[in-house]
Amino acid sequence: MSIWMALAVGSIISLDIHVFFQSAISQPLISATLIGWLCGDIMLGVQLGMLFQLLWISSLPVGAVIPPEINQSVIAATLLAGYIKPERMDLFTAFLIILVILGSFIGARFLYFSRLINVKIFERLIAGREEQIEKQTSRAIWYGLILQFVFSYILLMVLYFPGSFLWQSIEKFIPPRLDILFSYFEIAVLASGCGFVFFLYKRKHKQIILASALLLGLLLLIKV
Amino acid sequence: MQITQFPLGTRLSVLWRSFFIQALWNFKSLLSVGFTFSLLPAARKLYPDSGERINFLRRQLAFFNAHPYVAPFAIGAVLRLEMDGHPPEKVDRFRDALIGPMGSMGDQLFWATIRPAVMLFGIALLRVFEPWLNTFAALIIVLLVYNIPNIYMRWHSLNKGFELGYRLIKELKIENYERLLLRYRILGLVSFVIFLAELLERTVETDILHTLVFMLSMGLTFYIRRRWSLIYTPVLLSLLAAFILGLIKFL
Repeated sequence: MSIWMALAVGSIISLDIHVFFQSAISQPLISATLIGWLCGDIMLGVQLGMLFQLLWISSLPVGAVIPPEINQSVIAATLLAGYIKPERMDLFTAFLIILVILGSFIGARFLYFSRLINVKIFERLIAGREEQIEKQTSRAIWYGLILQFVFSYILLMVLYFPGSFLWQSIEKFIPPRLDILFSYFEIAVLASGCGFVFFLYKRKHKQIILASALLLGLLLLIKV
Repeated sequence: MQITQFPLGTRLSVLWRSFFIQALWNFKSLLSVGFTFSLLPAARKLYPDSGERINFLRRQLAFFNAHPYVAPFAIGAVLRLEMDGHPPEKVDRFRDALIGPMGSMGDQLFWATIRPAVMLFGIALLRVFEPWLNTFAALIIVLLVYNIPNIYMRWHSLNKGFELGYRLIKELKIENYERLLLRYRILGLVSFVIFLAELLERTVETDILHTLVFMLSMGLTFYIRRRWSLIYTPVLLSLLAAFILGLIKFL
């Protein structure tokens, strides 16, 4: 599959984040696995999905708040991993982690701008002819979908192409013997994710739930 | 008003359109365009006269916000009240009064409980049970466990809103969904414990620095997130700690 087509698939998956259905297909665990499969390495997708899924698990899109936009960054990171097929995995994982963190920040800005454009579409809808309100409302929804697709496509390109170029430079610049410096990045991110999960559940009161869940989990583990 | 109930086809059409409710999320009216778009099929049945229909739809465009999965509560309630011929200003005020409870309930139910629990379940499935379970089968299970309550809640809330009208406000309490919450919390916690146990086992087997990075990053993240509600900082500090320990190993 060409990279342009893969970016389009990634952009379609991105529609699930905010604008259509919200079926969780855009969650890192699922989207990265699907993109990994498209790139011919499903297990790489699973690994990246698990790595990033935990990171922003406690960040909730409540009300009009725009949280870090991790989902699209993970899609871009998985595309990079799938197309580059790196050999220096420790360094590459560290690179992807930094890319996803930066990408989540850029993605939040993109979302903010797309919502500003949505204001313009809304204002045109309000100022439009009254008798065409039904058609114009449906049209506005389509504009919203198309706009989000275009924004996602641009964001994925912005992350993929400079990311690819940057990786080639980093690979040349950093000698392989220094890879050991980055060997703990993956476990640090997984542990950070676990810290976020603890935070998420600390508020969920009722010690009995925690105790029973812990017990059941341990029992299941022993059985497995 | 002649109709007393909407045909199944109309309700399904409203449900389908509710999946697009956030398509034109904007800072001025938030979800109002998606809300109006969802109402269109029912509005055609409710107001065959185009003048009345235009007035109704323009009122809905003013402002609306809700959690997307529970927004059909408001759609159903507005349709019920319009059908019963309540004054437009009262209907609009009631719709606005639903915004807070719907947002709070949906966020607690789905964003804070069901979604993290199902994703933890997915991680446990893919990481621990992977040798016995095909990856795609695991993904399908995860999507089902998430989307059954998602789609059920949309359909249930549409019908409940329509059935209850003004009385809906009593339904919009998180306490009414305690059993569902409890099940998903347990699912999330059990999955997390399984994943954590497997991760710890592998970490301890690797080397002592690995275990140190793990404990340090987890503790640091939990403390900073709890104390200052920060998201980027604990991750970046964990990476810094990992880099320093990597440097120690290198030297």
